[in-house]
Amino acid sequence: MTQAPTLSPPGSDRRTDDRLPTACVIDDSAIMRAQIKRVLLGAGFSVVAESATADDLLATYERHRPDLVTLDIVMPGRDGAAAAAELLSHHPEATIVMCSSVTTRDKIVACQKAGVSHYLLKPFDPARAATMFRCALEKRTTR
Amino acid sequence: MTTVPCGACRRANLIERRYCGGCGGNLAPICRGCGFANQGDDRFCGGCGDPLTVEASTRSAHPAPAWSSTAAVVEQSAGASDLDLNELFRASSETTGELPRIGINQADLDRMFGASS
Repeated sequence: MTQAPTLSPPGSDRRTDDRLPTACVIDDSAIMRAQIKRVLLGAGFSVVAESATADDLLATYERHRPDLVTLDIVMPGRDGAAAAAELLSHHPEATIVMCSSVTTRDKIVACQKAGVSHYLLKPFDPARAATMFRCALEKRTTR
Repeated sequence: MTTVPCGACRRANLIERRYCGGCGGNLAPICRGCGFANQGDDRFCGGCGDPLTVEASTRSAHPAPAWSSTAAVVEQSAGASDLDLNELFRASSETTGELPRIGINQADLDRMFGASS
């Protein structure tokens, strides 16, 4: 029986399962984080970290080096679009999927110019989200 | 008990909820201008003061908000990117008195970000 992947304890830099692609989920809504995690697990990812803010995104990324980061935009503290730009300026290899209900021109163009891989509009269809996450991973492995 | 309707599925949700119990949609009115997440019953944005509803915009001392005019949206988009933002950010002509919805959808975003579905 395959054991479901579990979150790493804080401070751990060890992946839960080296065979699985890894992901970090950043969203201020616990319900939304749970929904995204469910989709990621179903798509074959291991979720190695989650956070309600993007304040420590760079440190979180450098600790876990996930294959994929899902990132909300409107959150307390750091704006997700700005956090994505900062992360990609330090780690252009990072694969980020924005998961947001924001449809403002400035935010979307900022994400695109920063090098965000995909933009998933909330509310989303879980099957479509899973396809997008896998697609983002494939894009990462082929570049 | 105050409720607000979900903009996506129309389900009535308690005002303190941030996401819809029916579809998971975000219930916080996101300001079109600054992206600030407002409370469900806010009529003006807490981030920039722009009106969030058509009713509020008619009573505001400020000029009409950008979302109320297709021309304004197109003007904002011009020259911002080599993408066809005028098409991408086409504004809805519907003014139902509720938070206006910009006509961008997932397919537009997929095209913009080069995603394949």
